[in-house]
Amino acid sequence: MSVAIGFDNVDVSYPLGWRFRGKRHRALKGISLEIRHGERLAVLGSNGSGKSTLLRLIADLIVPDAGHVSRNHGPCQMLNLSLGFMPHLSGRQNVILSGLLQGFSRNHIDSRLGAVEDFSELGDFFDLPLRTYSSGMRARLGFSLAMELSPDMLVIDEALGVGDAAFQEKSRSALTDKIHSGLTVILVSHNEPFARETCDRAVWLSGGEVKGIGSVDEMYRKYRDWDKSTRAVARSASDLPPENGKT
Amino acid sequence: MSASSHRNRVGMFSGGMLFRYFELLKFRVFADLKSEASRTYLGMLWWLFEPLLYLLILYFVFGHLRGGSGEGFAAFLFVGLVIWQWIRSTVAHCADSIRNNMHMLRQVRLPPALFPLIVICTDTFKFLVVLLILLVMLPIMGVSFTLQALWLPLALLPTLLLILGAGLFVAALPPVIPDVKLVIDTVLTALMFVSGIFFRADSIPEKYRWVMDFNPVALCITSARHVLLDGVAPDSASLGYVASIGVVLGVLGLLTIMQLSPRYTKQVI
Repeated sequence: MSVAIGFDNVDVSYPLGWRFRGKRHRALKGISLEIRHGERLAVLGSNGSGKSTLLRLIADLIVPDAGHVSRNHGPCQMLNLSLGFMPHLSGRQNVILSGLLQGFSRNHIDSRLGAVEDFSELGDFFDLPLRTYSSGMRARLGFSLAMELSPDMLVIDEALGVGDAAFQEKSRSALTDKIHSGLTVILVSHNEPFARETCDRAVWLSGGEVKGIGSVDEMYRKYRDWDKSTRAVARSASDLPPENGKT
Repeated sequence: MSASSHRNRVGMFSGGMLFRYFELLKFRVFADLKSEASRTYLGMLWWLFEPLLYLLILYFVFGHLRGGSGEGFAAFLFVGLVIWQWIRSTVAHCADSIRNNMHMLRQVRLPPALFPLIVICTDTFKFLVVLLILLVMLPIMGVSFTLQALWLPLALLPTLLLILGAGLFVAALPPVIPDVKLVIDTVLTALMFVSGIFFRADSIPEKYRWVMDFNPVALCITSARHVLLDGVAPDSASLGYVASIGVVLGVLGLLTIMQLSPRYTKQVI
């Protein structure tokens, strides 16, 4: 498999204040990683480990502060269930707007509108303003849009499965189909069974560094062991008797 | 940044992409106008009523209450205010446009300059409605148009260029230096008082006349008054001057936006 994106010693940092040369937070520290065409990669790590920054880097939304990125892939989009939605527009108009924002041509969007409408099962609501939707209906619209209009590379950083029980089942299976349709998929999921069954490789991030790359099973096992031990350390530290005078 | 990634970014402006951004621009302008109309009971009618009420108040105050100035002054003020409102509201909205859409830029790759352009299109559309009202109101107030009024589109074009340039220029910095927004507001307030909306250029002392002569906003207003009220063709030198200021500001603005765009998505607000 050829390489779709290669990261070589990549650093990303965020400014903490307004000053141009002020303090920065280094979210990724010297990451090196290759993502191959058609592979399904799981990204795991605790909160603040740099997962979201890595995804945004993959989706080409941010520019690295140091290091080298090489790209050889088509459109890449982060799965977003409500990108640019406006409450006063109808479901149909929101699908068009969101599709245009994601870089699809109007012709392509128009050709998929019927499929989005069917998939969403919104019925008459599809042509009513979004503000009349329940939150479940809104999520269904967003999910249907994401399933019908999709890029070459899919980056997923969201809770999966939306709507009521029946739609959840349907959306889960649609997503599984999509994931297995030959796309390159990068997935952040705290749902371990789902990641296990969908992904064929995993990268484990901690403190902005790559702790390991390997099979999904192995990475999850290492991550859990590490997580348990750091929690144990934290717990034993907080179990220490308080110092005198500091209660 | 690597070569190929750089090519990717430049690719944001290739022909196909440009057409898509144009489609997006069109749809967003429609969506913004529709959203605004949906927020009130009377909807689109407010685009007519609001300026109409505003103009009627001015007509009453300056045409009747303030006896001396006469009706000619009300027409003079109308034209000045309509042009000024177009410039002021569009530029002020532009200053917030990128900043208000930072959440969008964090989720999808778009050229940030798109957001001021959307604002300019929606505000200019609303201006055209107001202009229509003005063109209906002026004859009612006793102004008789001459053939020179046909110059109006040409007289307004440099103003549009000025708005376009200034809009891009003011949109660039507020996302990374929010203080700039306060400066822009102050400059706009100052401009309101030195652009001859309320007085004629010849009513100010000779030694301060340059404030009006070099002020592009004053020249925009004067051009509109020339063709609508005075029956005179617009002054081509001042049209050219306004247009070139617009182009210079626009280029500076675009360059700044392109330079700062990597920062926009990283700035934590």
